[in-house]
Amino acid sequence: MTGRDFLRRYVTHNLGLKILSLLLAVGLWLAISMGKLH
Amino acid sequence: MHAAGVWPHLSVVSVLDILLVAFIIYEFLAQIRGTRAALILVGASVAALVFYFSRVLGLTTLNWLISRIFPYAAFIVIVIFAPEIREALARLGRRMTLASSTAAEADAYDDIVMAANLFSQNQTGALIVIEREIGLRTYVESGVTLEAHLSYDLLATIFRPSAPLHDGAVIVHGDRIVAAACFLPLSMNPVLSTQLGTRHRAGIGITEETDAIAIIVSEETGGISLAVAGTMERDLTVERLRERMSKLLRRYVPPTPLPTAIANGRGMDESETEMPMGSSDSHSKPGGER
Repeated sequence: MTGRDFLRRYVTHNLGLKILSLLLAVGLWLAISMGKLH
Repeated sequence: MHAAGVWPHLSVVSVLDILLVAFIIYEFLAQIRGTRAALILVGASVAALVFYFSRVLGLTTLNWLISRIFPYAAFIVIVIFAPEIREALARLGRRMTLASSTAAEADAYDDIVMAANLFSQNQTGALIVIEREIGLRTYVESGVTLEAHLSYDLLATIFRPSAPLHDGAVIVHGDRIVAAACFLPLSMNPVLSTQLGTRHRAGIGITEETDAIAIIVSEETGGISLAVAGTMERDLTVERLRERMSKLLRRYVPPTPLPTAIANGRGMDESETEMPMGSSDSHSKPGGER
């Protein structure tokens, strides 16, 4: 697998969904860490 | 990281924690994208928002009602999506154990090679898409669900020009034909040869958007092509196709005596012509009417 294939398959593919997932995870972590969720 | 005592401490473990949760969320969203589960998720999100605002705004009756319904909703979702949950867990298990092929899958892929040989000899148009890591459920739902055991005979039957399901792509997952007559996205790559018809463009299109591989047989020339990652290898011999599939699917596809061409009387007539290329449709049923 070339670097371009790797980038395409694991990074740029579904990039929007990956960013959304990361934002949701960060939001969840913040909410739990700040004691808003128990 | 401390920000005026408001933000929680961000350690390396926290970053790992966030990334793992993000991975789980991503896998979940990727699995349900384009399915009816996504619509239910949207509905559940709206209900959660209504619940939150009912709490903030002090709408006690609404808040009470939603808080009573929510626990049952979880059970309802589990019952409705039992097959999907089972499949997702099985997929996760396969990934965790790094399981590659089973003997059944290897046999199934050899059936594809044999079917491609038949289509090539009879100049029957065919488009077979093999799912790999990225789910093709969006495209499966555009066609006719079969969930049938993959076999040479079934493929030959599906792509008979007189068969109602011949028009479109067959989607294969493991040793099952998940669906037939599926619509696929057309490649809009302007560099592609002008000799390529809709079927070939659809075969390339699906590999541009996913990690699937597509086997295309031209009904004009009988040539076998293999599309992977938006590129296409044309005019493959059956032996080469078997070799490439074996490599791409990381499994041994055993050589099997190939069947000889079946007479046209069996139903594989050559009356159909390939669709003209250059369609502006984003999705098309390859090799047939749009």
